[in-house]
Amino acid sequence: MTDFHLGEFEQLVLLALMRLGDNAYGVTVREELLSQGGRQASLGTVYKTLERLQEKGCVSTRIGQPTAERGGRRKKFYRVEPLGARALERSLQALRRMAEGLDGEAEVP
Amino acid sequence: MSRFRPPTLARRLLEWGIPSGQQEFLLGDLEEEARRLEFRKGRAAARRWYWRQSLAALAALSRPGSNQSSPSSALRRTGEVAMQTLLQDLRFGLRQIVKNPSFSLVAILTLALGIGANTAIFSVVDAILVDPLPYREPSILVKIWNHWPNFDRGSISFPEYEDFQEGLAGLQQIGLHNVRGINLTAGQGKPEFVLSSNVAGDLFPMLGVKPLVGRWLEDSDGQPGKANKLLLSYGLWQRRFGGRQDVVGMELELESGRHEVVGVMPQDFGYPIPDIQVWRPLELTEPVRLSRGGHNFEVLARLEEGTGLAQLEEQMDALGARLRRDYPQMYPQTSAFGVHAVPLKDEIVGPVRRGLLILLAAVGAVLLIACANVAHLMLARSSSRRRELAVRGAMGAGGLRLAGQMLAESVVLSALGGALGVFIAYSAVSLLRSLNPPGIPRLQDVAVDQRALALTVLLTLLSALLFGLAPARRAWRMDLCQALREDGRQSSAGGRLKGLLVATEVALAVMLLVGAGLLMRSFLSLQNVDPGFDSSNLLTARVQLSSARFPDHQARSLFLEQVLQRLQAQPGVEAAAVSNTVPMAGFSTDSWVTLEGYQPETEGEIPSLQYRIASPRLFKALGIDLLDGRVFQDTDRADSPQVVIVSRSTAEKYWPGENPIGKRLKIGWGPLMPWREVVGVVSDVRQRGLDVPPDPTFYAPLSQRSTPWSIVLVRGRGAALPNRLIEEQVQAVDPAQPVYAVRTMDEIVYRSQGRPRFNLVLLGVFAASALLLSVVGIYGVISYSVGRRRHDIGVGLALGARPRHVLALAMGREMKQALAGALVGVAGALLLGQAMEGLLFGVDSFDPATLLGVLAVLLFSALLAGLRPAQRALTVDPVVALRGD
Repeated sequence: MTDFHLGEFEQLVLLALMRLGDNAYGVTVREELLSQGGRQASLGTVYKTLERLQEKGCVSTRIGQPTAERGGRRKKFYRVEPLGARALERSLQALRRMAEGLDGEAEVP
Repeated sequence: MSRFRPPTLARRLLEWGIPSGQQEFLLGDLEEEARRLEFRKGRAAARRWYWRQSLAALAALSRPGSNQSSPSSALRRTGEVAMQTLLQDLRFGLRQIVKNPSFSLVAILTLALGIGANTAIFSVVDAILVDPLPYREPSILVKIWNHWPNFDRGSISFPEYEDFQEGLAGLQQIGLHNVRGINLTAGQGKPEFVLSSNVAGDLFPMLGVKPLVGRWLEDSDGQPGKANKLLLSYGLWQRRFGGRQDVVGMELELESGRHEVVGVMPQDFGYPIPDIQVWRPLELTEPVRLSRGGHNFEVLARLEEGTGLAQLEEQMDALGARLRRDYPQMYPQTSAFGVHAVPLKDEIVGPVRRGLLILLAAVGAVLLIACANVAHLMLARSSSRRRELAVRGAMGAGGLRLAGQMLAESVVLSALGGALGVFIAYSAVSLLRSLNPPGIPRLQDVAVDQRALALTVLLTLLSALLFGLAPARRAWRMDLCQALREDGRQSSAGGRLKGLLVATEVALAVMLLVGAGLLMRSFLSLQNVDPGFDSSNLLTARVQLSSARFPDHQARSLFLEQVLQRLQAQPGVEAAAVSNTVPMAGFSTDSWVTLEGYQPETEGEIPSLQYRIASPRLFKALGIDLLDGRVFQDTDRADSPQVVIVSRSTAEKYWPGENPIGKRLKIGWGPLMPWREVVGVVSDVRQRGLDVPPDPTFYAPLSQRSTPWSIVLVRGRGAALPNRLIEEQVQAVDPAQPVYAVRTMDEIVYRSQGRPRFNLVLLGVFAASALLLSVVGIYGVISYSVGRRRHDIGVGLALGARPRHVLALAMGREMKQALAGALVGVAGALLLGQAMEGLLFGVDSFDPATLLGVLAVLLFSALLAGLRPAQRALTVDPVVALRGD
């Protein structure tokens, strides 16, 4: 059982990781947040959030191969851990319950 | 297309500020995304994006402590801890700067402006005034001149040069040279005019600059009949020989014949003047060796080790006396004639020294103002952050640590300001070089030099310490309880310091503005001077007639008259004329004369007049008025009676109250010279510049006198004349005759004011910066003081104070300080005015109008700057203010 709550931006980042699957790293996460979530976030903020999620045990990382377009630097890929998935599920349920019975647009998946 | 590269500075900042655990990945992500962005929106957008992202990442990720993976490992060594602390503090400083963009921008720009302008001007002054000349042991090189009763830079004849060699024991080496134009006739392309120097003696060994190829010219090269040798400049070598290494022994054809190349001088060698292209041995023909009156040369010498200038002057006085005794018919019999020496450096930079030193002082004042401003800003900020610091202190941060953080912020600020300042310095120097104002020697040698850079770094560090110190000291000694009580009324620590800063700023700004105002008035009065001629729609070009092809006066005047006839027949030409020089061109030709009936006041004085050759239409071309008598006519021929025309000032000075028409004048003196009759009087012309009163001048007709160097003038009627007009008509008469220095008269007049314009523009820019910075400073101080006195103002308003009283409370003290500063500034401005005496024209160094104008502008600006923040005091809500929020 987890004893913490996810912030809104943390939820968005976790969702982005889930949507991206094996290809989740700084650039793609940022793009996903913008294209799907309509949220403009700087890489620094994304990194900060991912760092925090990792400290909480919600995500794990794996280091990729260096590529030329990155100036020969490696990528750090992120994956959602079971702990993170459960925390996200709980947050979304809470949202859903809170929205239940209200009119119109406040529905959540 | 080349690959996108992240902005270096941004990347460095990231590498320094982002914890190593994340650095590689973040940098990789940034670069990857920036490349995609570049593909879509271009490089500039990508770079801007990269910068924004970098700063955001620094703000988000570089929190103090965020890079410590585990506290225990960091604590292992104290050195490591200290380093960590330092890095933390610096990152903290950077974060503060990013968080307060407007404060940071003002502080950084202020510092950068001060440091940049200072470095630039320091570099200029250093290169022009301080740097040794690029010769061997240049400090003991001197130019030797004759001085005459009314002229102290008299050229030297060869026999005099030989007298110097024998009579001046204090000299180690001596050489002589001249500067002459010469036409290159050979080779591919058009005939070309180049400047050439004939040299003799030890000139090259004395300067000690080694030739790039081949050898120097030596004294023995000048033997009559064998002197057809030459030394090339780098430029001519490249142009005519394609830079061939085997150029020695090849020949170059000058109009005086074929010459053998003996060597090439390096690119930056330009003695006696930078534009020189060819050096030739002075051929020691009999006329050269024997003509004591042939004052055609300049002499450079090196002092003997241990000989002072004073000792040399003694020997020179003795030599001068001997010359007067031995050749009484050659030299005036007064001690006003003699020989003297001037250090080479003074000779070159003397005319600009005073102006440059004043600019240096001015730019130093700008830096001081900039420093004072940044100090304000830091003080004001530390006051507004008192509570934040108190909280940090209450949570256990030590005084030293807090002080360190304050200091770190100012170090980072100063470093950024310094970096931007270096950039400004480089830009300013290259701008100055590209403007290349005429009349400033050695400007092409100016570069931002290492010393100036070192000085900048030093200034930056010092300013950081200085500005950081006061807030840091306060952070250290802060009384937590008092600070946390947040009663809004803080101790007035720094209040006196701020008052001093305001007064200093205003004082310096007043001085600079008065200086700039004086230069401006002086420049304006220059523009209003009537030069005595009409420079509009007047085209000029120089023609040098070689003695090989035009051996005598007859050949020269025949050729020039043919050219004039053709030019006069061209459409759109009002008047075409020939003279030996035009006003303000930087050459002045004068001549000693004997005037009939004139008795000099001091015995031995020989009048010297400006000497101009004039074809009949010269006066019409230049717009000079005929006041009496007649101008030259076609009936004045070589064999008709010799005539001259004099200027009005000549007539007034030498024949006061008499009718000058019919008086007679000799060029030179002695019984052999013919008398010439004055047939006309014309209006005065300022020959040597707008700031020099008209020189007494006389004109001789082209038909009776001519010189090998001539200038052709054409006044147009209506539309501007085509630039090639003169060249076309000259070459229609003789295709091998080059024409050079094609300029309009307007251009010549404009160039003659290069030096005052240079001083005015720079000092104007500095004064404007000073005004701007002081206004910003006053605005800041009053904003701050209004904030600090909210409580008092609230009390005042609650008790029914009128707006007038509130304003007085809000800004009264600062205005008094500004006024005090202004008065000190006026005193300083009077001193500055005295130092500027020689730079001013048509305006007194104590100019009440300028002073009052400047005071009005400054105090009005100060009032405006103060009024806005002070108005905020009027809107203070007494209830809120008294609650002490």
